[in-house]
Amino acid sequence: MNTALTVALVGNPNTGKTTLFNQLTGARERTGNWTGVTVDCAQADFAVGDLCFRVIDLPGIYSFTADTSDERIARDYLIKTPPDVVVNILDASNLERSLYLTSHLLDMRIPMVVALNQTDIAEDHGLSVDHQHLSQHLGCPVVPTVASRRIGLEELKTAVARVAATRALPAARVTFGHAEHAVQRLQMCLIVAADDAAVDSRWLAIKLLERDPFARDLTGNLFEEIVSDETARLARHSSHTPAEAIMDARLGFIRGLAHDVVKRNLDIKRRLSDIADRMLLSRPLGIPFFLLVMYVVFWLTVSLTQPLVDFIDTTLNLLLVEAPRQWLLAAHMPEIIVKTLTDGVGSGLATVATFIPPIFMIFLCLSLLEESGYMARAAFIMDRFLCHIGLPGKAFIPLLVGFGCTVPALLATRTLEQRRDRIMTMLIAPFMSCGARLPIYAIFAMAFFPSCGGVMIFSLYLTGAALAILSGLLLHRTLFRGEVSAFVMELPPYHLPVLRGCLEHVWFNLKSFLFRAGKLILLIDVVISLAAGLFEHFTPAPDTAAETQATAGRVMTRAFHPMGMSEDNWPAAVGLLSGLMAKEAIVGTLDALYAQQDARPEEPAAIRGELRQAAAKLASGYGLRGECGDTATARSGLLTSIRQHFSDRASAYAYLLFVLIYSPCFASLIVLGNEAGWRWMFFAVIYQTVLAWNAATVYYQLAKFTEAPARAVFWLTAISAFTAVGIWLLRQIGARRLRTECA
Amino acid sequence: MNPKEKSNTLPETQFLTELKDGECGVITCNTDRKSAEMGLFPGAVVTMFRNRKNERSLVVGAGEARFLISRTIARQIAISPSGLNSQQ
Repeated sequence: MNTALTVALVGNPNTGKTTLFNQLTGARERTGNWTGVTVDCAQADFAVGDLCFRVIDLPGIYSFTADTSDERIARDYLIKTPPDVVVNILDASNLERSLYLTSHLLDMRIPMVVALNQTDIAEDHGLSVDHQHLSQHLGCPVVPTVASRRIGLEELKTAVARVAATRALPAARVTFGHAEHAVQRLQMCLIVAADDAAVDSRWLAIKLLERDPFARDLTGNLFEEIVSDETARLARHSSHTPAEAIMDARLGFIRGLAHDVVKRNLDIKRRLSDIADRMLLSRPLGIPFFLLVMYVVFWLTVSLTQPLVDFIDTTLNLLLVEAPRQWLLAAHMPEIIVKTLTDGVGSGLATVATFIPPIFMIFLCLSLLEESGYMARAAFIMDRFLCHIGLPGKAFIPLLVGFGCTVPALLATRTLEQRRDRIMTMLIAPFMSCGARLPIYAIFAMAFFPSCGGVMIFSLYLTGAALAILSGLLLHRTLFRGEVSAFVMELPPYHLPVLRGCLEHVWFNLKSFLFRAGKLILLIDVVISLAAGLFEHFTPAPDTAAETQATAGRVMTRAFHPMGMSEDNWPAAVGLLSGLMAKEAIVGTLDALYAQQDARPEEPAAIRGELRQAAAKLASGYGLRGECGDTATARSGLLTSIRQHFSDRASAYAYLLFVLIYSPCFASLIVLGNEAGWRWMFFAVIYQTVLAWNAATVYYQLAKFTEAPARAVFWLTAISAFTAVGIWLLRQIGARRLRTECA
Repeated sequence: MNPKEKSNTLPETQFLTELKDGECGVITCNTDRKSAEMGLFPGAVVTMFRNRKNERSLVVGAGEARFLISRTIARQIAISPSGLNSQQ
């Protein structure tokens, strides 16, 4: 087979580009019914005969004058690594709009095939597009496709192979009316510069006349004089700037083309989507419906999955920890191996498995919201609230994604135009409690709040959202003063979500989450168990080993005393450290360290009996049978240890508050550093950790006010003073930033 | 000019923010590049789907596409009312 030829998929957002990519290559990239699903390039291969093609799915863009990061990614890819063929995906139901990007691609002089996608939707709307006529006008192959139903894919592959073999450029090009003379003059002057930059000279001339910063960088501002000269000449003749003249000419070209090839067979009917929008965006129904949706998401994720989490937890602890421990001890294996295999590997696997139900459900809910098209409407509903913290409604989508995982939430901010909005959204997105924190809440809910666990967890989610709003307000008033930026966003039509697509999306996310989290949890569990085993093995007196370990841990707890962490609860402090690697590691660390510290009784468990009890509890949890075992039997080891080490509900809840708020995990921090800069990454670590400590301490001291009023007053005063100084400092920095920007 | 003739004369320039729910117009000028690139370009027929004075954004239709657009940007889009009413 020949070396792979590159094919780039280029098109407007939400034109079925990723669906086409998946269908062409058999890949399983995520698709969604909202703009900005693809915020990075995905690659996969397909073959036609002997020819092998590497397909690159670029983020959806409207033009090459890049305003957002995803647009910049697409433009940079096409300019810096020109593909052998570009497949331009047009939305047949919205041809005029799609052709705007096509006119830019024609300027770039790249071999091109047009995929006229979503022809079925166009037909439903009474539109027919004459693809042969369009092909004659553009001078390149035009293939009608319905990517979701695999219609036209073989023809598209053949057309791509043909164009790749001949390297035929599209015959059509846009002429720019009043600006044409300027384009031609500049083109002649910059032939060498265009050659050096490996771009088409005409494209570069057009971009320079449009005052595109990227083109000016490419030429090192060498042609400013000619551009100014031509701008002045054009102003004398037509009272237009070159950019306006170019835009007019493009629109004329598009309108002429659309007029020739599009036939409207019916008047536009009022679509179901419009009727739904009339209700769901209205004030009386919009907000209640939005709150209902959020509550249903929460209920499905937390309440519905809880009995299943308990069942998996109990069953796997019996099968992977207790049973192997009995067999290994019976086989007289050394204790260090028993500990590593049971407290390390077995317990780690059981912990990872408990994540599956809630993570599955949160990703399924987010996927359904995206696929249905409601996600973009939620941005409209939230716009009126987010403007108070200086953010556009569009910023709500990354925040909502944050309930699944912070990493994709940070990446989703790429669709925001203003850097200020992006950084602000990235700084508050980690407050949206991610799925990885849910198992921690669940374990504590079982231990301390058996009757009102759901309410307790919901309160943590609400606290996270409230802190995001307060932090947004603080940042808006201090570091990021300024007007709320305006935005335009396309509202995709409502779709009935395709379950298969949603499940594929969920599976993709769940798999990557479990692999990432699973590796880390297993590693931490095994390392801690092994280290403890080795420490005990090589220390002459086992008591001394345990004491040394505990002393080191106790030093760490000193910082957490004001939030109710006692000295003997040092595993909780170590858990917070491991949570920096990944929040899901906290439960694993607690499990391993409490197991060592408490030297849990190792009398043989009645495994069959406990399994039966766990199954009965699961059935009763879903209302199938009345029988229900004692809650304490589920995960008895960890739950008992948590109850022993956290003195009461107040200290447990304060700990959960700290877990909710403190520094994002390493993976998120790396993404934050890459996207916003390392300075903002460090700011996020310090800001969130300080806020977490303050919030947890304030909560604990208020809860214990009646028991120790003097101590509570001391800490509350100290924190108030500290907060006031912090806000003053942020205001000073913000004022200095503003002065620098104005200067 | 008699009053009847006057009522049939279309105003010279209106902005997108002035369209009421269900009213249509043709874009005559758009100085916001981003929204123009997204499909709200001169010549496009737009329909207002939601315009409330107390809301920061409007919902506008252009062809088959629907847009959420800030009032600040909508003020940069000049239209000539087409006199059509999408609800009729």
